[in-house]
Amino acid sequence: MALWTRASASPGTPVSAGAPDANIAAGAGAGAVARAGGAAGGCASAAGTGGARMASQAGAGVAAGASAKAGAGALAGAGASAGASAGAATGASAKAGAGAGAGAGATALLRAERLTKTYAASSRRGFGSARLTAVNEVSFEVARGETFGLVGESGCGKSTLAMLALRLIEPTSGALSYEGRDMLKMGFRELREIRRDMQVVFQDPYDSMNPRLTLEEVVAEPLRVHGRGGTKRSRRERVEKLFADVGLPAHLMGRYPHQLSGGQRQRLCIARAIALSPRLVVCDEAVSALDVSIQAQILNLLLDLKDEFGLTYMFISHNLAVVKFMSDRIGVMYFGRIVELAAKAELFGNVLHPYTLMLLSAMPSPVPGDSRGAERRAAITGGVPSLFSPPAGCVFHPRCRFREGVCEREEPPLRDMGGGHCVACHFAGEHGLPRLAEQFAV
Amino acid sequence: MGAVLRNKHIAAGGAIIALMIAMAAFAPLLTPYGFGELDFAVKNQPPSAQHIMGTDPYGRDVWCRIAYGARVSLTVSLVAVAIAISCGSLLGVASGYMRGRLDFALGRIIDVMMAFPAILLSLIIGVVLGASVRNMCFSIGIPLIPIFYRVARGATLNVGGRTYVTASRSIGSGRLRTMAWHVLPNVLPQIFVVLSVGMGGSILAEASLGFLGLGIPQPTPSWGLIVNEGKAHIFAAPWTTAFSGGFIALTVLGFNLLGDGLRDFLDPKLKGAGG
Ligand SMILES: Nc1ncnc2c1ncn2[C@@H]1O[C@H](COP(=O)(O)OP(=O)(O)OP(=O)(O)O)[C@@H](O)[C@H]1O
Ligand code: SF4
Ligand SMILES: [Mg+2]
Repeated sequence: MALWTRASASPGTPVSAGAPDANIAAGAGAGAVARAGGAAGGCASAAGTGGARMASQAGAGVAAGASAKAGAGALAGAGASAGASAGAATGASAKAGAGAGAGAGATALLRAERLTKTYAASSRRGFGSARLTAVNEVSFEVARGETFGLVGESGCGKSTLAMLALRLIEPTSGALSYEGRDMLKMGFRELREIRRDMQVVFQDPYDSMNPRLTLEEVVAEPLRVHGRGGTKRSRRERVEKLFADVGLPAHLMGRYPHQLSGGQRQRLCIARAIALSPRLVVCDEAVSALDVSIQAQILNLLLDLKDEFGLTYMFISHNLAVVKFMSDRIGVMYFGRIVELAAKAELFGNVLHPYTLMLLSAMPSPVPGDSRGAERRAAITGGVPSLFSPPAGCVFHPRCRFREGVCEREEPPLRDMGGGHCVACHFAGEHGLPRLAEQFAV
Repeated sequence: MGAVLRNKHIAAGGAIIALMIAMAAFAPLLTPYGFGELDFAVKNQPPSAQHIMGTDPYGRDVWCRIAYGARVSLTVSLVAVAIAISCGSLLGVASGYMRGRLDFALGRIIDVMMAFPAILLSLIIGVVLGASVRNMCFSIGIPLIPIFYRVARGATLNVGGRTYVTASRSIGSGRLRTMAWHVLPNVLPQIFVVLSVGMGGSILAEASLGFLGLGIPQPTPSWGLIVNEGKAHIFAAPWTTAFSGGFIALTVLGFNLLGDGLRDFLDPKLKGAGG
């Protein structure tokens, strides 16, 4: 029954630019501070959400099981509407995140500028090798304490971007810094120190653990690698604590990964990820391989851990509903680029990019009995073009309802439309996208 | 240890190999004759109470020669395979995991080695090093490296792409640690499966080298030598070839069972299933 909402507010920004509806929980307002941007045309750095997070919980002390169920319902689109839940949350104890309002100038934890990754991939017809641009000049920031969501269709480069952000693969070009330190210049030792701070949970819980290690060894590995945890006994105690943190019974410690269910494995991956008390956790499709009800449990676990350990998330999913549930700020990716980037309430209240609209229309309606779903879903048209031969001009134009001549010739830059709401569309704000605020209110 | 032996394959394979080793070690106790004793009065005799496996064209006791021959044959093939497995799998894992230039360079060297028939390579190495038991281990072991290299590299390419390897890197563990903890343990079982191929190959290679005059100097017997000598008299004294060949086959079978058993034993999914 607990509904988690997160909204970012920043002093000095007029509340509301794009929150015309009263459903925005706690009325915390939307919009992030626009910061003079770096290289990428004003949108390289966008946020200023230093933790002005409001967590409104219906009824203090609601059992975790209940909250899991509520989440599941919301995700399946079958339960109470978001609006209704928000209504139920009136009277809830609003728990203000630490340092509310103090976040405006906070430096970003992670900052990527114009990250690009191309792969040499031999084309199928055998005409030598073509280059494929999996991630194209992507810039974003993840502020301390926030959850930065990244959404996009399969194959748009989300995982590649996650790997780049962790420097698990080398970018072809671009810059990457962690707490202002240039990650691309770091050697192995420095990088290893940083890796203690940034962890990752992968999509496939069946593939992310060495099948030959016991669960205890899996969770203890980060401690060993970093020489933490001291003696065998104290390390074991630490592992026990981690098992408890993620809701796994300690008697499983001697088991092997194949003896666990998908949800349990994902809990284990999360335990491994938080073993070194990191600050940033990148979740790459962390729940996509799980059942909807299990998804909700894992999402709630992630939210609990975030509060308990003050984590920052970069949360990646192809599922807009999940990203919406988790994130403070959301970047929409298409074809290796970020095409729209805004605080959650702003994004859902004021959609500016036709592709985001398309994603929204594919989302199950949170309003029960809403018959417009089918009609809206019909809005999804066309397939993703080949990465080998990107369309000229706006990459989205082959699928765009609003395209005009210029779209096929010129690539729209990512522009800041105010309040840190960045959009890459020539006609952003002009084509009168249907206001979907009532339906998709936060 | 008890858990290991509960695997039937390991138990059976291990028993066969243990018997062979015991036979080699206690050869003098197991036979009343010396391995070089000639007695032309009893040449080409079929198995009998005095000579349980018959005699060869020189009147030597075949069982006696097989028991002593196990010493050289087992030593040489075990050491040769140990050399081939350790070099082949380490290089294969390094090659498959690091890729790039190392992989390219090693790959070309292995290609060159594979361009020669193994026996020719053994001959060349044998000629260069000279005939002795120790050198024979190298001349037989080195040509076997490509088998293990290729299996290890192939398996590593597969394992290296698994998420748990990326996860290990994301934790901050270095390449060596990742290879030792995550890649090698998942590659080894596939190497154990070709263990028997290597054992069989090396016992036969030892035989061929003996045939070509690069083996162990006479009169010390080895199984390969016995098979080869018996071949010339296969119609007059077929038991010579039959028994020595039988021991070779049995030994290869033992390693075969052991290899399969080890693979299953190392698979946590089969733990307790007992082969
Ligand atoms: N190592 C690689 N070599 C060549 N191409 C690659 C490589 N890794 C990824 N790609 C390509 O880059 C594109 C983006 O892949 P990526 O895995 O980042 O997508 P994704 O958004 O995470 O998709 P999904 O939702 O399916 O996980 C894909 O077209 C993929 O084929
Ligand atoms: S630039 Fe043109 S084609 Fe691209 S999203 Fe905007 S309207 Fe559509
Ligand atoms: Mg992915």
